[in-house]
Amino acid sequence: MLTTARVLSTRLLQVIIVALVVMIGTSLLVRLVPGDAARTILGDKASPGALDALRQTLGLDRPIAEQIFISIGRLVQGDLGTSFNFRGQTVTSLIVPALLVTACLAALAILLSLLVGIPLGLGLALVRSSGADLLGRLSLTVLVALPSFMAGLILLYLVSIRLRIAPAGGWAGSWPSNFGYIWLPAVALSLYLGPLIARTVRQAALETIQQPFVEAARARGVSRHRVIICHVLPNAALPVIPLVGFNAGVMVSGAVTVEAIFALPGLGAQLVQAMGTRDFPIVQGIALLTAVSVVVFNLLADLLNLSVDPRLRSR
Amino acid sequence: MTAEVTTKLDDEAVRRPLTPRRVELLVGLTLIAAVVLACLVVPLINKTDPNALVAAPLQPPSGAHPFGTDQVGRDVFIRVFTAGRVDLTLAALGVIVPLFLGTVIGTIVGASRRRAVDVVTMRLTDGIIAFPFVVLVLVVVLIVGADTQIPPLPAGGASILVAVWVVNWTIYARIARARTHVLREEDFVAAGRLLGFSRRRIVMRHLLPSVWPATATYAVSDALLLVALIAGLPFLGAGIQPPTPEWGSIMYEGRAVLTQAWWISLTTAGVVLVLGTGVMLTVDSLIANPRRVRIP
Amino acid sequence: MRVTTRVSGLILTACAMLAITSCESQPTASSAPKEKLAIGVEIIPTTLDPGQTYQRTAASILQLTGGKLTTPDPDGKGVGMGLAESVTPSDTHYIVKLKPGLKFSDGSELTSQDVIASFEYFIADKTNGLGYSYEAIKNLTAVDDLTVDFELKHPSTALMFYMSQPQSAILPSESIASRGKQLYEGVPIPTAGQFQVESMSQDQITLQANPNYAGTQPSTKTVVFKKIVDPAARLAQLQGGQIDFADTISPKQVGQLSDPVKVDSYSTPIGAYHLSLNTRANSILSDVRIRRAIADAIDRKQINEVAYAGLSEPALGIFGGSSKFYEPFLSENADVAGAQKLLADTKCESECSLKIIAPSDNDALGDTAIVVQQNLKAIGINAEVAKTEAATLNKWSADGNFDIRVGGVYDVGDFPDGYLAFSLLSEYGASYTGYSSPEMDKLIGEVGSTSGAAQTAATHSLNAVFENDLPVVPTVGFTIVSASRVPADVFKVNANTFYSVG
Repeated sequence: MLTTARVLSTRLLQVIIVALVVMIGTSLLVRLVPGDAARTILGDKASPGALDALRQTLGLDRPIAEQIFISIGRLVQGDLGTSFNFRGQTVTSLIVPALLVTACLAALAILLSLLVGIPLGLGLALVRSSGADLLGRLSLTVLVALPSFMAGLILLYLVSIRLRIAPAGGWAGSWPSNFGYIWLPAVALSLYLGPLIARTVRQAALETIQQPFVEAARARGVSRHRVIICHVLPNAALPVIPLVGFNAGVMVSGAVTVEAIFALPGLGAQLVQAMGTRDFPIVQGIALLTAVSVVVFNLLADLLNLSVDPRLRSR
Repeated sequence: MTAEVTTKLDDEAVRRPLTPRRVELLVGLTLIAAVVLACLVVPLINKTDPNALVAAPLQPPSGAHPFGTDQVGRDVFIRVFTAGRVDLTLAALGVIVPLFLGTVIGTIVGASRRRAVDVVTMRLTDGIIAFPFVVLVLVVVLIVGADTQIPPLPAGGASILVAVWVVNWTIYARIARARTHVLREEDFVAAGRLLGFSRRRIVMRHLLPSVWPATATYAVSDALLLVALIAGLPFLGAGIQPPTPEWGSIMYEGRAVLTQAWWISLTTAGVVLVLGTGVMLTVDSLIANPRRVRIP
Repeated sequence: MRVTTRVSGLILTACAMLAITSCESQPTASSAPKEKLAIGVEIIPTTLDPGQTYQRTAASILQLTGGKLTTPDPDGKGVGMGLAESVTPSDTHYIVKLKPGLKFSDGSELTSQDVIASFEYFIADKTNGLGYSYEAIKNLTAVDDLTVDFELKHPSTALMFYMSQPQSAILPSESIASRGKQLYEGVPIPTAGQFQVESMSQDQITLQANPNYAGTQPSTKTVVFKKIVDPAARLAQLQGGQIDFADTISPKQVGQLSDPVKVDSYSTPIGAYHLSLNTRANSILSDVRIRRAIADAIDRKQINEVAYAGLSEPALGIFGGSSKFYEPFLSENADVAGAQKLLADTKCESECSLKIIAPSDNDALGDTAIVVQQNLKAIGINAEVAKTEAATLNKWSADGNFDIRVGGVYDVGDFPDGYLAFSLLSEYGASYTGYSSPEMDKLIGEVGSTSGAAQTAATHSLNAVFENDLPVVPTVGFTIVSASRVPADVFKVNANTFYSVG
């Protein structure tokens, strides 16, 4: 059976392996992409002399294997390198602000999904009219089928342009004004995870209600309210933990496209720009950071699951 | 690239006609069939060239152009269903290969008693799953690129498939492994070994057939996720680029003129949504749906 | 139960917070002169070195901070005085006399020492991609504290124009001496322009009015340039009020603009959008007859209507409609019959296939590609359109892996040298066409080193050669479409592509 220590050590090993795989993988792949960083940075009007000089500065004239080796060596020392495009700025200084934006977006989306999804799922399981349940389930199904970017587009159109109660994309650069810019994209992103959570909670709640202990509790005289909140809800909400952990990767992909639509200066925008300018250090940095974040998130979800669900603990 | 965690599979002991589950299944399959058929049939009946400029740009839906015209003056109706062929083909191809590959690998790994095999494979799959899929797709798409064209796929299609194949088999492998772990404790497996069947035979003839339903169910929802991914790529400057008709590239082009011409993006989205709803209903009907019981 | 109350309390507070902050961030439109402006652009400078900044919006931003000897006229047709009081050209010398009492933004004096140190730095800097601007300079000497003598290799009318460009911003000689190659790293060096750089990040750059500026102080004290890569997002933010001006929007979105948002479009003083045809030996289009057929088959009016919302105009010659060197010879409408006749006896007589490539981030160019595709269909040429991002596009172009590339060339003043260098000079690849004509190269050199009647004669011959060779096919004028919610005297883009802040 699983112990906390075992989970921890497995996950830590995982982080290291993932980091190495991602590092080597991106270094290799990105350098296989056609197109030259120097030409892209300097643009159409660059003279051949300027191009060569820049290539030398960026170290692009050395063999691929050597370039990869150098970047891995630096990584071990905690140095993610300096950007090609933004000369003189470290990758870390460029990525961290973008990472914060994406992290906030994802965190807010997950929070919204939980706040709305769990009560909604529970409510649907308990509602007496099966017609309402059907309608609810159908709406959830449609929402889960709706890709995040389409949700973003529709919301942008309806809420920002038509109703004018949210800014049409952008970023304030300082809290708390940033809330005004992030809530609509977060809603768009949560329109996938929220319904997903609601469906899972509804299913788990229905299964829990069938358990004999629920009937037993009622027979003992526990109020309906208390049975729902203290007995059904905890069991119904349990599957949500691994569900959210599993979907961390999906949320990142969704966040990237939603950011593109709302013009948020997050990792997505930065990644696309870095790919376009062949800014290898930034691409590597983002790939590494996202991969490690996903693994760490999964670790946290696993630990939470372990601590909350007594059935999983070793005897 | 996951949907929900699958709960238990129902072994359909009781067959009753027209239970809500069956209705769900029927409706879901009908919706899917409607979209697939439309994509097959419409371009055959309606001979308009999806790339030709047939009318003034940004015309609203009318009799002549049921979905209106787009920003250069092409007929959106024919484009949407021509695009459907591309998306559906890519999604199908993108699912089938990982499905087979992943299921077989996962079953073999799950059946193996050797811990080393299990650990190595699991860490490898974890590494691949954790790899930011969007980054991988963007990079592979750029390498294999807009250059290579494997007919009848449009330019860019091959690269999406490569990226998807490399990553997606891992999920199926995980599902298969989990299911195999459960199944290998069953009596029929023990019986098989007692009877002297080779490991290979047990895996192939006994375990695999019982593992398929789990992975195949996931494959259906995976296809939908794939359609969503492919359609989202043009917004990141990758994927099937305009002017090749593809649901995502049509929506992307329509996005800029959303306020003036909602029909370009939204009719396409409607079709995708119908397909998506059909898929979700189908998947739901295949997964156990507990009876509604009131708390007394 | 207490749990639920607490949770619902939290939810209510969160909602209230969100509601308040989002209401707070809704700016109202105002037409009064503004203290602070927000401008949305596609690209902001990634470095303060103008010698490395070729992209239009980035260069225009740096133009606001640099102090230059001359200033470009808003219509791009000439230059006026800037830091210089007078510039007296005489055959091979430019005598530049500075205005007295000039200061940098930190208060230090601006003298001829700074001018000489700056130009010597520009010439010596090998990574300066705009180094061709100073090609005519042979030597610089200080006559006195306020006068510099530029000794030239040959007469050059263009030099006065290049002096007015962002890359010729005068720098403090102390900074050059102390920082050397790290000139643009770290804290921004003092400048002599209308604005100075207050802060710069990867998403925006903030300019503050320079109190020591020699010219008139702007009423807008702070200008923030925000990087918004996607044109649709830029327009959305303009309509929502987060920014006051969106530089470059997709022409087809013009239809959705409503008060107070207005269109602001202009054509550059010289330049046109064009199709670069691959003239390399192994390409179908090495045959000049097919190139001429393509030039005739294109429906320029349709391109203007579909891709530019009618805001541009057909370009019927190489220089573009606003230039004084423009000589129209092509037709506005498609001449299908004439084009087909030209195809007789060529590889494309019955049917052939061509590959059109276009950038994926520019809607208008992409739409042009589609119209061209349809126009070519009418004369029996099957063309496929491939849109891709800049790096791949450039690689394909360098490899000759295309037949037609949709693009354009412009310059910010009606001085043909730079424009011709990038569009037709073989040394720079002639707009990716691989075109190499010694006669054309010679004429380009002549145009660059003569003036007056001699220059007019040279450009006339050049136009004739161009009409014959057609390595690029002009489509429509180089029009940039932007949108604004402030009046033109507060902020606008001039025809010379630079910004003017009121």
